Amino acid sequence: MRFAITVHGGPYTSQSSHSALNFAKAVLHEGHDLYRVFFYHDGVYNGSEIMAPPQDEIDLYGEWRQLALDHELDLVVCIASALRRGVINPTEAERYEKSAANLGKPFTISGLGQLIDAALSADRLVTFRV
Amino acid sequence: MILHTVNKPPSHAALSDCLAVMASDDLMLLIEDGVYCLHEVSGDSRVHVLTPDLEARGLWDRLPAELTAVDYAGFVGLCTRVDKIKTWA
Amino acid sequence: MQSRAPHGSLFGQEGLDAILMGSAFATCAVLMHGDGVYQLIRDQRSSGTSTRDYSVSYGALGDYGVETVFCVQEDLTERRLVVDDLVIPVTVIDRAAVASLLNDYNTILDF
Repeated sequence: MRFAITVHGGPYTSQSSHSALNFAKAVLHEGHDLYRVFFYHDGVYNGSEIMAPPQDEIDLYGEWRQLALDHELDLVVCIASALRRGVINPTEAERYEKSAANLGKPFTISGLGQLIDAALSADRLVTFRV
Repeated sequence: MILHTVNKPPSHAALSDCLAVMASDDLMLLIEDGVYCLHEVSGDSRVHVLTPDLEARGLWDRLPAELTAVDYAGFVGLCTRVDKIKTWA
Repeated sequence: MQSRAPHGSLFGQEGLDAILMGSAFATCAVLMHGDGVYQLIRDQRSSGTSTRDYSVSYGALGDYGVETVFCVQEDLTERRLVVDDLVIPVTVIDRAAVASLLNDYNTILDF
């Protein structure tokens, strides 16, 4: 079965990101397809590669990154949510003349159409809210 | 048939909002702070509880007999049994 | 499905963006549930809060092909609101009808 996940919560603010990560791992472990993980609202902060949590806490960016590399996942942060919160890739940094970019690979930045596409293409859409 | 997830304690409107629209053959899963609702829904066999969230909050030995504990694999399994998922938060 | 009040968080505003995008690809209806109905109160003046008054954008839903905006009678009554307080015409349903409404659509987007 084909799943899609939406993450609304910022890392280390609510449990939303942790739950979504654990659910994503279970989807893959159970042999299902994970079509896309779409990060919306504060969820876009999950893509910040400069987060530096204490060593005894889970590194959410690193976990998403490794899971995506292991399973060729499509991790998308919403461009509207990301830009207004200061989560940007080098292309957007140049466009908006910002001095730095923080969206780490393999996260990509794209529009809300990717959320709608995920909702229409997946058999099940599961949202992790705040 | 819908799987309803609830992630807020009973003091929040999420649980009552969910119960108000839940059909008799729908399923509910308590996750995150939603596991604190376990006493409010004791006796309702539609209700499942996410074990890791129960254990994290020290409630692992308080699960009412009528409720079903599931792990994350079980959460995925519940999703496959329904047509869609509704999130109450 | 919109369930949060406006201004206190951005969930409603960003949720409406998703609804407008979704309406370009699929048949959509909007349910303003619980505190979500507060988003539709007319004459919001947000100049003093620095937040955005996006309630007027609900007026564009029809142009985007969103057929119906639903509100629940009990939600309105509990919040001392009537349909004349709202910025757009809505279809009012009883709380008992929400379950069948949810069943009428393939996917539910929650905000």
